[in-house]
Amino acid sequence: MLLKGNWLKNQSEYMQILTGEAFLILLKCEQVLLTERVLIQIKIEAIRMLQQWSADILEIWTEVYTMALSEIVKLNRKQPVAELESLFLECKQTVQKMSDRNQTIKVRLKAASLVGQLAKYDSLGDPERFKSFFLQKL
Amino acid sequence: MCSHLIHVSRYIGQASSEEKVLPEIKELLEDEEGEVVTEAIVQFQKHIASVFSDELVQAQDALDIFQKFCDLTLEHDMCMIDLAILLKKLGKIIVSMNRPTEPGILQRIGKLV
Repeated sequence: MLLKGNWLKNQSEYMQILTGEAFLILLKCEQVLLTERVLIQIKIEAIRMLQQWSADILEIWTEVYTMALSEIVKLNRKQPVAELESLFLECKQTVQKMSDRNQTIKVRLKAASLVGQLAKYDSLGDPERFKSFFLQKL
Repeated sequence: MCSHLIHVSRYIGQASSEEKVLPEIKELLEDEEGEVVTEAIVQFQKHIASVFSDELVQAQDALDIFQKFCDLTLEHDMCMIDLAILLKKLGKIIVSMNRPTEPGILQRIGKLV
């Protein structure tokens, strides 16, 4: 139910935060093995949530996004990198969008936090890719 | 904002971190906001404890940064919590630098005390 259609999008901020926390528990729980399909659905919802302006929502969903992406990349580690390119590009665009000068300070702060979490969870599967995406200006 | 720098540094490794992240930490020290300066000091301590090479930690550059931290700590009008955090971190930095007889460090500690 949590991942169907626009259910989450239409919920209150409180419910969106609670849902994020629930996904985070699932993602961190070693006893639960989420399938790739579910992980992709979680990632799609996370990208939607990252378009919001609430700092509390961004706080929880940046971690959900980075953990889900990390798990997807791990599951596809043996696949050719080209198959994951769209995921990486989407990730780069998400960070760029959140870092845009037109965004509020809160969102831009969370963009920095997102980059840190991508490193923490090895979400791009390769430090060199991470460097080429995010450390050019640093 | 800079609290995640340590994750980035641990991920990209020591050499890249010294090249890309250290200049950022130095820049954060110049920030007008005391909160940012405090976080820069916290980040520097974490980096010298777990990321930067021993050569860098022992180098004059690191000593200069440390001295700047001490001066900033003296200059900034900090609340007790910030000051407590900084003193704790400065203590850890001194341990990591392991230069017990360095006059520059001893003088700065004397001033702070």
